[in-house]
Amino acid sequence: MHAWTWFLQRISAVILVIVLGLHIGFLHFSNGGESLNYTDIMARLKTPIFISLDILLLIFGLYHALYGLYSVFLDFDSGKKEKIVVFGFLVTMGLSFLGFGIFGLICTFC
Amino acid sequence: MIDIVMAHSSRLSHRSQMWDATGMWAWILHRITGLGLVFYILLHTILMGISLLSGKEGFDATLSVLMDNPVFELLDIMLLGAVLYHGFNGIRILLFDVGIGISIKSQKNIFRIFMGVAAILWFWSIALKLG
Repeated sequence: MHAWTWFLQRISAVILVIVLGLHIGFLHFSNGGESLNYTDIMARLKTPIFISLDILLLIFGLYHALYGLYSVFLDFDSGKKEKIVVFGFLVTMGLSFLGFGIFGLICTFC
Repeated sequence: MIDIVMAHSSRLSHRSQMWDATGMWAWILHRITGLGLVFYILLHTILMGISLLSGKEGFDATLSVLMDNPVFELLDIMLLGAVLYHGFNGIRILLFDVGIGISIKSQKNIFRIFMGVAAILWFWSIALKLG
């Protein structure tokens, strides 16, 4: 399993370079340096491209971040039981943040 | 006497190797920026989620604090620096994984070039933000 999760860490890194680059570019620099407001964000979130971009960012950003945190934990010589507990905690945390993030993005229009 | 000189020389050489180790510092900084970014993405998800759900007034109030406060502007600049460093060093690691630039000399050169590009992008972004 570790080989696959490690490989997905690399895949998520490649995707993040593109998706995060677009996110920063569109949100912070596309408006001539002027900050966006609620109306601008809502107009953007109504387009399939922007909502997909944000959801992809959430999925791969959270995976990359939390698996990175797990990799730091693996550097310490921990027992099998501790590894399972930490892995389970990070998976639960990741899914909770993903659920809340998607809920926040989509339910803005509810 | 020769033994003492050699032992001293070896210690100096070891210390010099340690402080010259670009890869070691690149790795340490990758870890530090990574941990900072983990903290940020979790905070950003919660804050943006709550702000979006609180409606126009709540969202605009949050955004005005984040965008107009000099402390948050400074943190934003530092965040961008961390993202650029972590991203470009990450690309270097990916290239290494697929067998590009394996030698120590290539690694150092790739690192210097990538850090140069990251620094240019960072200063350009700061100029755009403050200009």
